[in-house]
Amino acid sequence: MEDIQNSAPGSVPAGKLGARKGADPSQNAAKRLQTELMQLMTSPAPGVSAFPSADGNLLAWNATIEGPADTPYADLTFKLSFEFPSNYPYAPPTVLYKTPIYHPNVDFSGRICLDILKDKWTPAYNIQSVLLSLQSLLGEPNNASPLNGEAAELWDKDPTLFKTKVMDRHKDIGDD
Amino acid sequence: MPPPPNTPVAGTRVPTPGPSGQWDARSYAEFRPVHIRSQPTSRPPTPGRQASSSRSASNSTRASTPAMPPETQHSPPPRPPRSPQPTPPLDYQDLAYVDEVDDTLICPICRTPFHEPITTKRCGHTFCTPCLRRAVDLQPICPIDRQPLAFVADQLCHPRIVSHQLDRLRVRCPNAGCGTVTTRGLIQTHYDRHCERTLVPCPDVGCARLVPREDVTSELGCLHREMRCRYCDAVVFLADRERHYDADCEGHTAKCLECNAVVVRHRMADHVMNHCPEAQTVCRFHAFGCSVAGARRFVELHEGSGCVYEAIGKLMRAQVEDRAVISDLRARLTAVERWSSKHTSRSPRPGHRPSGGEGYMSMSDLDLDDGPSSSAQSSFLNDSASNGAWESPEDYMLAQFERMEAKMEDLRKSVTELDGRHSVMLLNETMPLKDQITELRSNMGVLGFQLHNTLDEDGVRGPGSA
Repeated sequence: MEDIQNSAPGSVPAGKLGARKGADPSQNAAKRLQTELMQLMTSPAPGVSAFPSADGNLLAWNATIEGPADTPYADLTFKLSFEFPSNYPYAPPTVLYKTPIYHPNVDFSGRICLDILKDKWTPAYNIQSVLLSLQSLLGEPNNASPLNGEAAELWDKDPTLFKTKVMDRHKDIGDD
Repeated sequence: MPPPPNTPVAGTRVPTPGPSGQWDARSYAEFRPVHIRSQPTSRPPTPGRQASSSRSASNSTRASTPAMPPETQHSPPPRPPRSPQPTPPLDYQDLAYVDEVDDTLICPICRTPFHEPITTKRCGHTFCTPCLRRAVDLQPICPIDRQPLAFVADQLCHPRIVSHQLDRLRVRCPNAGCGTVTTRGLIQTHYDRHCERTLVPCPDVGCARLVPREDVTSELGCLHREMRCRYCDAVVFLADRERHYDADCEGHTAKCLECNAVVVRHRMADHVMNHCPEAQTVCRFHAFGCSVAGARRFVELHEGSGCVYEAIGKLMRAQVEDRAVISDLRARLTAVERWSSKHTSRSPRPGHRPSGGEGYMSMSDLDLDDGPSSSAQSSFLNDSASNGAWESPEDYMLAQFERMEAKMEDLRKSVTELDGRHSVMLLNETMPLKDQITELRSNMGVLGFQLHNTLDEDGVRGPGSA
């Protein structure tokens, strides 16, 4: 997270920016993120939430997803981290599960395989839509391209064992 | 963008700070004479400036004694022209909207109301032109539904109705301290031409910085010279001083001695004069005899509960206003008199007052119906110069005009009345006539009918009998 912060063009000394602030991409990213924050605060979607991380850097956010009912993830809460590139929303954010999760499309370090976070990203996506997509991915994993092959297999073969594995893997982590 | 402090600018003359490290009042006064008045020497002492009474005294003496010729501080050496920074363009994505903007007018890419909206022809999605251009540059698809899309004219169109809707949104001027609210269609003009807070190139051709438009005046010249702040030792540009006072200045807040509130020092005088609840003040109706005085909160309590002098105060105020009107009228009268005396002195002045005033036509005598106008004219001339009743021909003429106007009005009224009466009379007379005519007409019809019948019968009978 630190190196992101240091490398972000947003940390250019303010005096250098001069008059052409429209030309600085990170300004646009910050503006858009600010707007999104406002929208998330005023009209939150059920089951998902997001907020910039405490260090005041608008390009790094923390988010939570509540597992949807009628899925193995019901009643569980997952923390995620978002890191936004300076040309957001023209490039997707990097999203990681911070809470360990047993899921066909998430690997053990929390990386997510989801097309809209890769090549299918368009600038019309936003934090809320990404979170809602991730939430629905919990109930409908894409078992055709798994990051966790065992989970993809168990999802269809042995839902009970899958549920056990999910519960074993899930540990609530602190707010760090 | 504030330049870092302590940056010497080539060619600018740095005014020497006072020995106390205080803002140099004299050099300050040179640039901004308006402000020196609001820089109060009468400002009440504030904590941290306990020793300021002697300071401000020395300050004021310095300000009054021309110890240094002002030329040494004025007129920096001419510098070669530099290409000035352009005025920063109005950033539509930064605009603050007064009312909530409908979701349908929000660009899905930048999440702000559309700027130069553009719609895809194939799928009908609308974006800001710059947002869509950038998105399509990266990936030639519609950002909403991923339909193939190229940024060419025949795949896109400008939705005029959306533009009109956007133009009607009310926005706030983005310049700090402006506060103007206007429609979005007009904000560009306001920003470009009218707003006093818009940053424009410095009037000094050798300076490449920007200043608010209101500071661009010929007598101030370039405001990018460094000044020492009065409260902290920071060196700031003169052009940035207000912002510095309000935001950056290390010593920028202080406790009000009276009420312990923390106030921006720069606004302390205003606070004590108008807001501080503990500051000593007098009742609003002090001028009319109310003797209540004390801390503002008590006085406000007293005023709120109804000062007995309030009624008198209103009357007195009205009287003062009346008096002002009277004195104004008097002044105008004097001016008119002076003018008239200048003019009448040209004509031969009769040295005596015409006895009996045979040619004089008083207000009551004036009647439009009798007396030829020529005699009225001559009598007017005769009279006006000498008669005391009419101090000037203008007055006389004005009175006459007024009277004539009144008479005209009377006449007009009576004519209207007469007109009305006539028409009623006419109506009264014609109504029975009309009735009679109708009756006659119906009689005629009956007669004609009977005649017809008779003729027909004759006709029937005729051939039969024949």
